Amino acid sequence: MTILLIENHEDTVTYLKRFLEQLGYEVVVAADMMSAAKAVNAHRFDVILSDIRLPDGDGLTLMERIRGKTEAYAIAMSGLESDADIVRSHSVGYQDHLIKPFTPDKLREVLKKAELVGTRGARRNLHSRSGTSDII
Amino acid sequence: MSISSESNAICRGLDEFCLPAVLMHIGRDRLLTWNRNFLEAVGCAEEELQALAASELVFFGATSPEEIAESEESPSPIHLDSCTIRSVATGNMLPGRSFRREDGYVFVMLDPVGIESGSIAEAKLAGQQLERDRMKEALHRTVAQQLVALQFAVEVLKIGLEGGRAPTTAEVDRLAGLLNEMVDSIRALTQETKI
Repeated sequence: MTILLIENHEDTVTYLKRFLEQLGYEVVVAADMMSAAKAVNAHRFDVILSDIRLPDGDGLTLMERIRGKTEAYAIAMSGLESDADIVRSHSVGYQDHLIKPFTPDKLREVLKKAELVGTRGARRNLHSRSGTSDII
Repeated sequence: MSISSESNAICRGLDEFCLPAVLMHIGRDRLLTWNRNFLEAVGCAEEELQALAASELVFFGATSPEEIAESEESPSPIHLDSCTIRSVATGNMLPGRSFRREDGYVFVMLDPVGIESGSIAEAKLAGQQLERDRMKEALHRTVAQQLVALQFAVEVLKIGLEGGRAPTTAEVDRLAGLLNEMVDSIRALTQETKI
């Protein structure tokens, strides 16, 4: 599975990337909104893990722009946001929202969910293509 | 405690009430200490303010006859006056009060900022909210980010160890570095909250 990690805090990028690689993911890093949008246009990602605060904008605007171009399971990462912010992140297309600081176990849990959704999606597509029922 | 450090503490305390405050010396024509609200009210950076002469910014006078009488009758060695402070950013004149000592030290307080009714209770609440927002932002920008990096750095090493790979000295050093940076951030934030 391939993850697009969108984060600009250097140490966080270093260790999150290594952690995800240890879990077996292929990781592409983008430090800002512009390079993230380019990456989405150029590659297919299974998961997008994006910080909400980016140097050239925010992860919400980014998701509004790219949601139509990717089916990746999207996870937002942010600081101490309000409930309204979390609702907004879901409304623009993030399926999950992690509040920093979050633990590796919490990330593992969300990634498992992403894998499950990805598998279901793949099975659904397979069924749709073969003309069978959409119900799993 | 010197007048400067006492005034510094008072200035920072007044931030809680959204009150911009500054201590200056008339003879030296210098601003000596100020609070965050004062910087916001005059719209300039710390360094810019240090370079300015006090007389470029603070203007005394326009005191009502009642206030003059009150000040002269008072046995206190502090002279109360109204004053205006020029906003560096907009050029607008902001109303305030000055408390002048005979040795030339003047404590100036502007009217509360960002408060519509001007009541002290509301000013205090607004000041506390501003401070909470500022701390929240500072915590996220520093400690929360560093904690995420640290947690995942430890996890990476743990997974490595479980796979039979001992961490290198450089990796452990970096871990210690991350911890030190976090301690520094917490210390800086704690320092900021002290009055």
